[in-house]
Amino acid sequence: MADDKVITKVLAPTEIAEEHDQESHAPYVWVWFWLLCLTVVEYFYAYYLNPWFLILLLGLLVWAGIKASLVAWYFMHLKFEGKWVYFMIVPACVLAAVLVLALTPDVAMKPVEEDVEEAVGIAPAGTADSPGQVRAAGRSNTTQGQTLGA
Amino acid sequence: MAIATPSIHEPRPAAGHPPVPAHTAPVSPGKVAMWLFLATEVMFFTGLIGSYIVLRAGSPHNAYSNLYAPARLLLEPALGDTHGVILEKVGASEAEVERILHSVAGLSAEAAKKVIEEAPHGIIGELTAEKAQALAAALHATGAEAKVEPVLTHNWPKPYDELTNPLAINLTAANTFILICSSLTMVLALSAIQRGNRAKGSFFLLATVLIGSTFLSIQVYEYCQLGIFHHYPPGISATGHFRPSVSLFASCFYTMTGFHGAHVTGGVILLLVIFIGSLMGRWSATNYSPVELAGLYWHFVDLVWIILFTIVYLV
Repeated sequence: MADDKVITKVLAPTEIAEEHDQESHAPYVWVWFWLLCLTVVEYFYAYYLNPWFLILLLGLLVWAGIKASLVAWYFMHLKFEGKWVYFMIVPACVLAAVLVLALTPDVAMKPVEEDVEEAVGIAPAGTADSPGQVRAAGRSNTTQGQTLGA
Repeated sequence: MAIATPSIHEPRPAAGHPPVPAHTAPVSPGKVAMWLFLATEVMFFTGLIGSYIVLRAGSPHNAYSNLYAPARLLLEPALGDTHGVILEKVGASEAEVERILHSVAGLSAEAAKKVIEEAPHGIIGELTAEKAQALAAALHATGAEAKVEPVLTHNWPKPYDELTNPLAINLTAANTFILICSSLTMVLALSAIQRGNRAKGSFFLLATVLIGSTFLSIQVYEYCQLGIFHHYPPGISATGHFRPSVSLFASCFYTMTGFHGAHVTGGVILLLVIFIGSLMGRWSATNYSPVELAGLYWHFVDLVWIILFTIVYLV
């Protein structure tokens, strides 16, 4: 039994207070100060780099990402949490990216004109082809009179 | 050396030892539940922000313009070849300006009055280049300030462009900072309660509630300005008011900030309950979990706003 190691340990009340002290003296006001600085940087970055969209977008995402990370790490105490938290956050973020990518062909991309005409001209009513097929999906293989399989 | 696996209940120490204090348990069910909820909230806001991203990427290149209402150029592409005059300053004689607008541009008395009211963004559109030059020259002669503008199209309203984007970036940047301050007071409240300082905990909880309410008030003020009190040029709205129905940008804006505002409102109510609990002496160094969980929710709401502000206002 002496060999058995219990993962958790028993702390004396002073040690509990010290542990809390350590946790609660985390640099909250410093983090707040850096968040303020980053907000100011973000504001002026957006103001002056407005004409250059890609640089604007990438830069702003970096500043926003850093701010969000500071809030999550220090204010939400992710720094002190176990790995289990990431089992929840990471799948959600992956699904979030998947959602945006999945919507992109239908919403963000535009149909190519020739594909639209071809699809409208060739495909009889009731086929799977529809006008507005994205070029990346490939051209229709049907010939006149032939319907696609169900 | 065998390592005792922690059970789902409080970990049991070896025989003869005092009970293990709760705070050394790996994690409480409440915390798991809150983080799981926050993961679902990530999906919720992804639905909004992700949709915004794809809708914006798919918006036609001429959906918004400096002279005409959103989407009008999609229906009337010929307008893309027209010119407009922007009345920036009326000058001494308003009646003279009205007369010129009627005689040169063919505007009715009512339309002319509207253009004058809208200065420095009074738009007279659907003109040929020559007519636009003639109108601008005539307006200059009366002491008014006007400039000729060709149609400039964008696929989405540009930040800081007063002809296509009505959002008050300065005010909202300040509001973002205000919400960040409330996150600070929240974490200081939790920290104080964890150290047994109840008075400080209550103080910071109240500060969080008040600062959060300030954020909401400024949002409401902005909504009122956008939708009711302020009048915007046609490039922003056909009706002059920025309401959800005037453009895709408008409906996206109100949906995203509206849902976020609803989350903040819920957070403020939750924190009010926690604050009242602190006044009743409920929280202490050994019982602070609800404060921590409410704090997690509040920080998440702040985090979402940081991202929302960047994507909706600045990009």
